[in-house]
Amino acid sequence: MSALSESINGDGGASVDPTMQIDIADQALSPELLQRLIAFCRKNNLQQTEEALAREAGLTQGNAPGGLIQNEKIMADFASFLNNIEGAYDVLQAELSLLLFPVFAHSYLKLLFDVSPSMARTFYERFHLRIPRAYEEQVIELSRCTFPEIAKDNELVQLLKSQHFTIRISKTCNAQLDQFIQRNATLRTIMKERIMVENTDLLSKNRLAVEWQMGGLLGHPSLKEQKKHKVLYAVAREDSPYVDKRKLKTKESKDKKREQMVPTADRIPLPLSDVLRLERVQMQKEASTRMTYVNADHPPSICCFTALNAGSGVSSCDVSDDTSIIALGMGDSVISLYAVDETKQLKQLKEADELDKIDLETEPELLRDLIYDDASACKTRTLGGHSGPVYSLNFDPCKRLLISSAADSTIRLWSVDTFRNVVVHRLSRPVWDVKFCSRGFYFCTGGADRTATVWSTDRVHPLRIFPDCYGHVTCVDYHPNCNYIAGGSDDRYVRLWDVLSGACVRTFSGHKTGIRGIKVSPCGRYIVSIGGDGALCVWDIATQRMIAAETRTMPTIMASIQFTREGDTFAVSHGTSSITLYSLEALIRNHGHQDNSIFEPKINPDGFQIFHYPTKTTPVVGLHWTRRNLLLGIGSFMQ
Amino acid sequence: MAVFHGPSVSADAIYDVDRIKLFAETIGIAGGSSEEKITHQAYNLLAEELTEIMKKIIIDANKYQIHGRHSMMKVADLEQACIDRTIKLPMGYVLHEEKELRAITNSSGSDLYVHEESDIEINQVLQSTSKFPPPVRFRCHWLAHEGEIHPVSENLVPYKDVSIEVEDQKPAKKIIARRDTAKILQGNGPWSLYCTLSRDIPHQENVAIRPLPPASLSVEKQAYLKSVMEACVGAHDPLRVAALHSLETDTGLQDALPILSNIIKTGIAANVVQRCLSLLIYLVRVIRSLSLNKSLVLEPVLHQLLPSLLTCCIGQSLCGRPETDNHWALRDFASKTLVILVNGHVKDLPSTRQRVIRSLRRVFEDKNCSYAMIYGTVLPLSDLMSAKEKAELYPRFNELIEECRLISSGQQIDPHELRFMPGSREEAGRLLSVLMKQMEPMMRSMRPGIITYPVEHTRRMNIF
Repeated sequence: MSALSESINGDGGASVDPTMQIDIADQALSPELLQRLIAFCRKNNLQQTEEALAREAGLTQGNAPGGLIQNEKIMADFASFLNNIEGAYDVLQAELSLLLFPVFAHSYLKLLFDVSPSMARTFYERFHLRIPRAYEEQVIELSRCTFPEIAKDNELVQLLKSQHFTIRISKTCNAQLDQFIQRNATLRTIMKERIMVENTDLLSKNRLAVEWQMGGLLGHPSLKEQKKHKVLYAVAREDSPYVDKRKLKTKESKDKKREQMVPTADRIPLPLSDVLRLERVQMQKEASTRMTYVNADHPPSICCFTALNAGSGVSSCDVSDDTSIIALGMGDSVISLYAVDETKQLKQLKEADELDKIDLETEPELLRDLIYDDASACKTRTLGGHSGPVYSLNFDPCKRLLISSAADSTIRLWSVDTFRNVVVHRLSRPVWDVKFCSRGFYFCTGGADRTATVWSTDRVHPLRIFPDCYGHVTCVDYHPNCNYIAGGSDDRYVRLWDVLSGACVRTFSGHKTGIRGIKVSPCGRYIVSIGGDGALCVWDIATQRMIAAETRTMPTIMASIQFTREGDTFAVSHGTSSITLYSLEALIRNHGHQDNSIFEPKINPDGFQIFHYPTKTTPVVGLHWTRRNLLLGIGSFMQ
Repeated sequence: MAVFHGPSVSADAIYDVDRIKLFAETIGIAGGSSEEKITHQAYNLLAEELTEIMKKIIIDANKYQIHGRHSMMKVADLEQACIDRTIKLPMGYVLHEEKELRAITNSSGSDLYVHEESDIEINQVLQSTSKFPPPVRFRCHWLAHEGEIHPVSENLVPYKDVSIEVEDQKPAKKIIARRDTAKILQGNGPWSLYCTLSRDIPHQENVAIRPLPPASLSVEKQAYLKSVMEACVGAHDPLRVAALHSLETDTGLQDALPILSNIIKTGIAANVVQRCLSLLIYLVRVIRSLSLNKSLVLEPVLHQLLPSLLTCCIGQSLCGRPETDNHWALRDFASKTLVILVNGHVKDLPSTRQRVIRSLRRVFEDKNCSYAMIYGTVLPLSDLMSAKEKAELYPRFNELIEECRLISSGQQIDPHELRFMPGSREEAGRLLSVLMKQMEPMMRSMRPGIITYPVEHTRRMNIF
């Protein structure tokens, strides 16, 4: 290692070996020497001298620097880049800080692969605290790659090396950035090879707004890609039985606009079975007579179901839509069904030969009683079949089917009428989350194989596979109009996929950790997601940006988000011992109409969090709103 | 939030170079002096690689933990993460619960301790009615009702910040009172001082016990009651026996019970003060008769009978001349009656039973109580307590035996020490005899191995 590099890497002392000076004085002006001089100038912040020297020597920008010196330059270049950012205007400083992580990461990797691990370590130790906090986890992951051999196996490194890191900055900022690039060779190569800069008209007003864009593994999602797709986010009237009638009167003018965003009924084939139609009539009947509203003025009533004696733990739960059955997925791979109403116990369908004897022309109401075997009625049922903790459960809307996924990498479809396993899908990796479509028939899954998948109940193979994620798909939710799927992933992105085209139509970045819970609002326009650090974000599909974030929360195990039936309020449990209620309606009323040219998410806005109820020692695993808007919390004691 | 770790080899490495070297030497590939020696760099890389693999396994296991909704990582999560990386499962440790050791006496004299290994009868397990593990069941309760957290034990009732509304006048009042006090302190005598200071102290209200409703008894019953009570406490012995027999067997006493218990209660309270031993014994005999009467339900009057009986068991002074009067008989009789009463009539009130035991136990364990008082507690304690509870009393039991033996044996004791002994030689002897009587049942109820058996004492006392 040359003396010059030592002076750069060392304690930053400006002492130069006198013998070296003599050497330089004796030598002819070679390009190599020139580079050294320039590096020396840059190191000591002699910018004007450096520029003058470069100009005089006729050093063009495209000139590739010599091998050994390039390595030493990387560190000096990053230092000068940091200095440049610090010297920039406040407004630009925040935006420019978006670049810090990718440049840092690629500089580090360059040093690691091309120079030496020790060099990379020196670089890391000198600069890692300057990287924004949003990238903390990634920086730590990079630090684990202490040898090139280890780094090659690392997924983050592979990702950074294979994909472009995208950032979105304003035009003024881009102009400023160009100036830095002119002088900074390392930055130039990294920008050219690895970073994609997109110009945007959207102004990020303050540092907070910029910080809430950071966190994604590959920076911003590309806006250009997303603009190609139009999202029909609204929900048809027939699919939303719980519409607040008070609202309908006031917002008739907006209705037309909304109608345009409703996907046509035949966009994807949506079967509506007779059973479901009957169920919906029942739903509407209940909603019109006995529904209570929950908002800031009307606090909720919450009923807790605490599972006792669950030694292996309750790893998932779901409640059927009409709140008649609770299903628990246990840590010991069993699924237990419980009848909530003691008078309506779980009955099995009669055997086939007995069913044949029933006269089909009896009234449907009576028929329903006839086909079930009264002798089989009991309060609980156990479904055995999985061989691993059951990670997710979901009833189909007319509670005839139950879908479950477990650690044994299978998805199983159960018939609630016969209490038998009907279909087994055997996959290669565990599936974390399964959700039925609001009309039944379709269901979507997200799993450790980094894909979200759409299945139907009558086919063995998946209908769509969405392979866009760079990490496990930890949670999925079906859009209420059944045309889209929302998914949260460990790569910190929230994505929206179109079931028809199979394309990823929206990607939202801003979470700082993997996503642990996702839900689309019943109106179809907003997505609520929760990250591992407990941060709750509300995204607007229409304007493609974050509306608000709530950070006053605790670390999350697996979150459960449930909207009230009319969709104004939602309840959240972080998998820990509390239930929190937020008012989406208040949020939209106060902050929904944002200026289109300014990006300004609200952080912890007033009136958003409306209620908070702690439980004693029972982590709340699942939530459910009954049709009357009574909140049920299901937990397992001391889990 | 995670903490920044430096990427240095030694800072957070799970495996450091030295350990890898040790591994290499263990399996004989370190090479020693030969040319195939593994270089330091290779060790370094291996250490880092291994550390990385371990960290990745932990990260993966964390994912399984999160999706299984555990608050803590389980062994199964780690196993699953290992399976994903096609790593053979590590051999786990299974810690068996500590079984009891059985001693085998060797001919050479040294004992050998072995684990008892018995075959399990599979039929017994299959036929047993109790299911294990217990089935998961739900407990349903309100967490919040109309927004208010429901005040039940399942919920975390929030601490309400009770802010006392201080009215404007109140501090002024206090200041005036304080000024008055200061004046008094300067001038007047202690009595007036006391009166002024105690003026503002709120009088403590005793817990209001609902007075038993005066039953309207028929004239015959009133006359019967009067004659029975007179006979019971009278001087005529055959009449008393007849009266007690009548109380024991009469089936129509239930409505007279409140009055009867009231008489007993006031009688005992008065006679304890008067130290009239004989009347106390008569009254306890009445209680005994009542508690033996199968047709009576004593639960409504237990709050009068139990304290009275306890007084007779553990009263400090029950007679005028403790040296000559046989108050031991009263204590004996009362404690036996107490056992009968508790066993016969307090079955459905476990908390009452516990309260009786607790108050007896308090006396038994109190080092300031006299031997006479402790004497009354021994029998009911040994009859009412469970084996487990008795085990807790064992140290005190032993200590008492030692003390009594020391005093009653008549050995020369330092008079200074004797002063602290709560009883005379005779009392100690009495207590010792009753303690020794309870010794054997107590020992039998104990599981061997938990306590040290005081062999020397028992041998010396020639009990066994």
